Amino acid sequence: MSAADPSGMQRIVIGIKVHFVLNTVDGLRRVIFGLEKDTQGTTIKWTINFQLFERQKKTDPFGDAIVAVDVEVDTALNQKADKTAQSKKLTPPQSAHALGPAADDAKAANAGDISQDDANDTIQDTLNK
Amino acid sequence: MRLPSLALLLVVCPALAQDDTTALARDRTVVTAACPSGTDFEAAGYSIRDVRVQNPFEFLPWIGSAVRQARSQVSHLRGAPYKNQEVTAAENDVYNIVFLPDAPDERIIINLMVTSVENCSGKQLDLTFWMLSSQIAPVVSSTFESSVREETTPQSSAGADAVRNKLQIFPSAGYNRTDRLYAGGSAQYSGRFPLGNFRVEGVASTSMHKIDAALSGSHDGAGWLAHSQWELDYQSNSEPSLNSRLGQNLLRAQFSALSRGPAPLRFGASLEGGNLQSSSSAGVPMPVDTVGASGYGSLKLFLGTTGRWQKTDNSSLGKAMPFDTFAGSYGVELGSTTAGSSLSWVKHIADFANDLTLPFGDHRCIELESRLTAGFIQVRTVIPLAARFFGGNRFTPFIAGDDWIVSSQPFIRSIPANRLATTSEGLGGTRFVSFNSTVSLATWRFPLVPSEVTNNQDFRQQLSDAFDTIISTLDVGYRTKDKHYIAMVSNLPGVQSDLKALKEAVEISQTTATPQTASLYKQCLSPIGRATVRVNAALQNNGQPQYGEVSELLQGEPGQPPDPRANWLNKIHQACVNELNAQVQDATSAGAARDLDALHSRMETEFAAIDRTAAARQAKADMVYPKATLNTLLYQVNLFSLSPVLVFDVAHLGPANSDLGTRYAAGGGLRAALVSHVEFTLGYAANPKRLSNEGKGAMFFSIQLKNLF
Repeated sequence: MSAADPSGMQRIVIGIKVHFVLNTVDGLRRVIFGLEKDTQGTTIKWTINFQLFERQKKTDPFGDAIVAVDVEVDTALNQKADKTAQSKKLTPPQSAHALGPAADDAKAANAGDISQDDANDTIQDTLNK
Repeated sequence: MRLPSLALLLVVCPALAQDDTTALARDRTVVTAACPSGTDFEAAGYSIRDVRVQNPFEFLPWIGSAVRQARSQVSHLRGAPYKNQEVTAAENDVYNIVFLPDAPDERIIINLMVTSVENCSGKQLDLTFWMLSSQIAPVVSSTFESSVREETTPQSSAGADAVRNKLQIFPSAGYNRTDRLYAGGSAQYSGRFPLGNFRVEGVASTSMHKIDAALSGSHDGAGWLAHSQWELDYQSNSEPSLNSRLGQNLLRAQFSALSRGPAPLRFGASLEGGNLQSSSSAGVPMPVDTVGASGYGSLKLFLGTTGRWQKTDNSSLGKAMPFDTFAGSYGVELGSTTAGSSLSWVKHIADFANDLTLPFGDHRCIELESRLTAGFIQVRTVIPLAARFFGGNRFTPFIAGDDWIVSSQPFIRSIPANRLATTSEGLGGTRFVSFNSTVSLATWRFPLVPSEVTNNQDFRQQLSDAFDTIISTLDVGYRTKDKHYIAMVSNLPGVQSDLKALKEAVEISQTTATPQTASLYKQCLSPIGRATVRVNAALQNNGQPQYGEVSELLQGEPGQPPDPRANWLNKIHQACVNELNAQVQDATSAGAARDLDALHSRMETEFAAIDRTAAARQAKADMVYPKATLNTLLYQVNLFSLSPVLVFDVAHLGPANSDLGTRYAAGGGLRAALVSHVEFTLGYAANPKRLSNEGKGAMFFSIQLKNLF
C-alpha cells in the first residue's frame, strides 16, 4: 500500500508517475521511459512504459511514437518477482528488450502480423531478461 | 537606509500578496483528519471536497496558464463521488498537458507527478495533483554558474523558463553609496538558433547610468565541444569614482565554449572597441602613463575550468547532499589606444571561486562562498584611466554574459563602488588581490517541492529506479558504439541469408518426412521462423532496439545463464542439426546449418567482447549532473528563504605603500529570496582600516525582481 507522509500522516499518495525523456546526442531519436504507480482501491498497479520516436532531421518534429510498450509489473507472473517487487529498475538487457523485441512485437500485433497474446508474452518477458 | 527599506517593502509585499494562489496557499490547508492508509476511498463512499493542481513553477506565466487549463479539466471532480477510474482519468488528463516549454535539443527531460488525497473527514477528502517538469542540460549544469542558479532561479535549471518567442521583463533596483539609489531592468526576447536571444538592460540613478544591448546565441554539440555560445553587444556606462567619473562606450563580439568531462575546459575570446572616458579627480592625481579619455580596441582571451562535486550514487537520491562547485579562470586583455597593432597595455586576471553547500535538516543549509581574484596590468605606452583597477562593493565582470563569471576588479564590500582607487602612483591601480567570503544560513524557508512529496518513500524509490533505468538505456546505447558490437551486427545480413537457405533446405527435405520425423521438422522450422523475425527486425533497427533483437538470437549476457526463452541460433542448432539431421542426414540442410553456425560463433565471440564496463561508466557519467541538479531542486531549493549572512573581504590595490595597502570588510546582513518574484540582499560591512577620505563602512543592498510577463 502506498506510504503516507511520515511527518504528519495527513496526505496519502495514491499515484506516482516518473517519466524520463532521453534525446540521443545526434538529436534524431527520443526515448521516453516511464514508471507509474497507480492505486485502484486497495490494488496497486505498477507499469513500466517505453516510447520510441525518430525523425530524419533535427529540424523535423518527432511526431507520434514509432513504438510504445507498456509492461505491467505483475509480481506473481515473473520469475524475478521478489526482486522486482522491491525495485522497478530495468537492467541494460531488460531495457534493450523493451525497446527491441517487446516494442517490435507490439507493433506487429497492432498490424495483425502476430497475435496480441504472443506480443503480450514478449512484453511480459522483459522482466525475465 | 530608510529609502531602500521602504522600496523593499513596497516591492515584496505585493509580491507576497500575489503569491497566495500558489505555494503559500498550501500552508493554509486546514488539517482536519488523517486519511486512513489502505482505504478504498470509492468503496468507503468518499466524495471529493476539493481538487487542486500544483506546480512549483506556476509563477511563470506560460506554466501558470497550463496549470489553469489543468484545473479547468479536473474541476468536474469537485463535489463528485470518489471513483477510482475517474481519478485515474483525471490524473492522465493533467499529465498529458504540456507544462514545459518545448526544448527538443535538451538531452534529459524529467516529468514527475504525484497524486494524493488529504483532509479525510466526514467522508470527504481533498484531491491534489502535483506536477514538476524539468529539462536539464547535462554539460552546462556542471558549471559553477549553473549551480548558483539552481538556488536563485531554479526555474532556469529546470528548463521551465526556456520559452521561445516571448518577451520577458526583469526589473531591478539597488543602492550603494557611489551609485545612490538606482533602478532599471532588462528585457529579453528569446528566439531560435541561430538568431538567439536579444537582451536590453538599463539601470540609472542620479549619479550613474548603464545601458547594455546584446544579441546572443548558443549551440550544444555532440562531440568534445559540448556547448558553445556567442554574443554581440553594445555597452554604454558612466559612473562616479573618487571625485571623478569613469565611462565607456563599446561594441563587443564574444565567443566562448565548454568541453565535456568531469572538469570541463572552457575557453573564449572577445574583440571590443570604443572609447573610455574619465574626468580628473580633484584630490588624487592621474598616474603619469595614463590618459583621461581615449578611443581603444582590445582583444580578450580567457581560459578556465569549472566543476561540481556531489555524491550522486543511489544513496544521494532522496535527500540533500553536500556539494561543492568551483571555477578557475585566467584572462588576458591586449589593449591599444591607437589604430594599428601597437600594444598599449596588457591586463592579466586570475580568478578562483568556490561554493560549498552543507545541507542539514529539511531544506536548510549552510553556504560558504569564497572568491580569490588577482589582477596585473603591464603598461607599455599609455592606458586610459577607466581601464585601470578600481575597487569597491560592485562586482565587475571580465566576460560579457551570465554563463561564465570572472571578476575583473578588487571587490570589497566595506568601500563604495570605485572608491578603492588611491595608489602611490595616483588614481587607479595596476595590480590587486582580493579575497571575498560569505557565509549564509537558511533559517526560515518554504520548500519548492512539498515535503509530502519528498518524504514519500515510494517517490524516492521510484525516482531512483527511474534514474537507474535511464542509465541502463544509455548503457545499451554506448554498447552499440563498441567496435565489437559493430563487427557483430555486420554478420546480420549473412545470418539472414543463411536462415533463408536453411529454411528452404529443411522445407524441401520435409517433403520426405515420415510420421517419425514430422515433428522434428516442425521443431526445426519453429526457431528458424522466430530467429528470422528477430534478424529482420534487427536489420531494420539500430541502437537499443537492435541490441535487444540481436540479444534474442544469442545466448545472452556474458556470465549469465543462457536465456531459455531466447537463444534462437543455438535452438536452431539443437533442433535442426542435433535432432532432425541426426535422423534424416540431409546434406543440403547440414551445409546451410554449418554456415549459420559459423556466423553464430563469430557473433557470440564479438558480443562477449563488448566493453560493458566502459559503456556503463559513460552512461553513469551522462547522468551525474542531471541527477545532482534534480536532487538539488527536490531536496534543497526553497520557494522562499530568509538567510542571515556574514561577510569578510580583504583587498589590496597597488602599487601602494603601507598607508594605502590592504583593506578589510567585515559585516553581516540578510538575504531573502522569493523564487517567484524577488531576491534581495541587504547588509553592512565595516571598513576597519580606512583612509581619511573613506567612510567607516558601506551598506550593500541589491534587489532583483523576476520576470513580470
